[in-house]
Amino acid sequence: MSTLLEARGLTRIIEGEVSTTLIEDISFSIASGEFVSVTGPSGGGKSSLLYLLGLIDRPTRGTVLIEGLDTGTLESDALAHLRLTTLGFVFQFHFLLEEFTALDNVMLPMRKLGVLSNQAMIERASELLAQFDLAPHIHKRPGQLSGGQRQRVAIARALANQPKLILADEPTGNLDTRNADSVFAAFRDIVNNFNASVMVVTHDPDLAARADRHLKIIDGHLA
Amino acid sequence: MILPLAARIAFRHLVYRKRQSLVSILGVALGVGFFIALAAMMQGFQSYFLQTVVDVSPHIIINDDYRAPLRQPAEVHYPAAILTIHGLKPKEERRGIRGYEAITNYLHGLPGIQVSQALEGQIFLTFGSTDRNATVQGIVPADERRVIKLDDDLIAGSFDNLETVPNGIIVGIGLAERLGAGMGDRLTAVSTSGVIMQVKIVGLIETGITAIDRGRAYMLLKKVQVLQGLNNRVSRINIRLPDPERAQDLASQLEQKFRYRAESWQEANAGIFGVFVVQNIVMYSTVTAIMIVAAFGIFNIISTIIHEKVKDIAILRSLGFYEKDIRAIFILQGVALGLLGALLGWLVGYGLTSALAAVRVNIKGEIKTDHLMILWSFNHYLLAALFSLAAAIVAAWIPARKAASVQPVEIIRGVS
Ligand SMILES: Nc1ncnc2c1ncn2[C@@H]1O[C@H](COP(=O)(O)OP(=O)(O)O)[C@@H](O)[C@H]1O
Ligand SMILES: [Mg+2]
Repeated sequence: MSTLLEARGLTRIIEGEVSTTLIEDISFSIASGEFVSVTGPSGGGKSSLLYLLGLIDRPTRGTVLIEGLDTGTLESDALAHLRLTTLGFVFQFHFLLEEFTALDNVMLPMRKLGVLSNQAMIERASELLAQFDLAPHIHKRPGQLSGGQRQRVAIARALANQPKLILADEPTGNLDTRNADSVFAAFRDIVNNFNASVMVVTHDPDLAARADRHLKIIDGHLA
Repeated sequence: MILPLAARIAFRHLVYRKRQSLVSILGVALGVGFFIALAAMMQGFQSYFLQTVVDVSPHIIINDDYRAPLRQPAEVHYPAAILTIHGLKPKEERRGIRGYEAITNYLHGLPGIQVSQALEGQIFLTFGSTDRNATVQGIVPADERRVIKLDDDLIAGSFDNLETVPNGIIVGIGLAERLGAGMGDRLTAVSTSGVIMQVKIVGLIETGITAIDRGRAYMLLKKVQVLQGLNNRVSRINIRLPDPERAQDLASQLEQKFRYRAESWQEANAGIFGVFVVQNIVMYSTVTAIMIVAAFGIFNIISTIIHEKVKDIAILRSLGFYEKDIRAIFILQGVALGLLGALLGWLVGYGLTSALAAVRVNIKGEIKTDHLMILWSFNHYLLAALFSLAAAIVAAWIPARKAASVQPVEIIRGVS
């Protein structure tokens, strides 16, 4: 299996009156098609690590390589392009745009990429939503959906441009067991069928155990 | 591909805030509408006035006086000397322009220029037992007609009658009424130099200006020269140019050459043109103020949207939208509000202008009209739209720049 992502000595310090070290000297890699779970005490730096890997935050020291490319040297637009094409982010809160329907929300990254025709985008977005049992709800807005449904729309959106790596930060934190189970089943499905990688943060040891590999972050360090 | 998407997001934001959007659109519309109506009215009046002045009056008038007192021989011969001349008694300068033929000949030599001469004098008119003072203008109707709109104020008779009827006179309607005389009546005219002449009314004029209607009369130039005992003199030379804009240059050239005071239409109306400048400044200031208020409205709604949507901005950025995509969303909102406001403002402006055009007034005088002068010009519409669009874009640009610089991680950290 080839290396998809490599973290090298990642350190993130927030400067202030008292400097806070969120992440310190973390190195590891994720292979293509690998399902990795991350656990650790609250405030340990799991989210901070995901933001660095997801290229929405820049490390104070160290770097993230994606398919061998050192992202530390890239400009803001180039990072945005990598986020659009290669990465998919799922946050603890669904973070959908409230003015847009489920379908439109899923189509947002496709529209930004602008590769598919409008018809093809609609088809692909509908298929993704159907995979998460949302077929009857594609024209509803986030306000008309339940928490579990919203989170699944957010996962569908993360998958919109067929990313190589899904980064999910406690995606099941607000879901009941049944919904949480279906989300993890979806991740397993992505890994098995699309050769994509998934890195998911969770508090639930049972869910964490369903991954191929398990990392633990304590006090900003890899334990 | 990205512009339609940004437009989509921008549009949704505005549609979700219908009332607030509508208020900012109305603000722009009022600014645009008022500008259009004000500009139509002010420019309408100004260009009408200008046209009237250029059409009706001579472009240059050479008078029988001097701008500066004549220099004394001592001053001419000893320019460096410090010299004060006391008790200078002006030489009894007979009224009128001496050697006016030389001037008219010179003027006729210039291409396209029309010239007429007039001699002005005081006469005493008697009809039956009533008598009145009048200022008589001695003119050559055919020449005069080429320089000014001679016949516009005529309400009876004809200026050509002056040539055909011996000792014909045309008088103001007020003067005729006060004398109790009418068309065809014979009057006795006595000049200040004591010459007596029997004259016959061959025309009546009404300018609407009471002083003129009560005090003016026209006769042939030759007759007035006889009455005044001023052969070969005129008191005024009127000039019409093919290009009225050249009047000022030619006037100062003539003044240098012939020393008589030559006044261009621009100089004669300098006072009113100064008023126009002030009017325009007031108009543009008013509209600028309205536009600034409208721009604040736009600034306000876009800032509010950005404040409320900072989470969405963070999402879009983390999904892979560029900074410029975010900026585009909010600038597009400014453009949309400005454009809709301008279009609505066109309707408002059109409506206001039509209303002004329908207003009936009763103005007599140098300008006679029963309605307000309105200048319908698409340029006003274009200018107002450009102005409002520019204001809207600036108002949107400031918050849009801030929106684009949102660091998504800071927002996301704060929320999760
Ligand atoms: N902007 C910030 N300034 C200072 N400290 C912060 C900031 N953001 C997060 N932290 C702190 O950094 C630590 C790591 O947070 P986080 O990565 O969210 O941990 P986790 O996701 O494991 O709960 C926490 O103690 C948190 O309070
Ligand atoms: Mg966290």
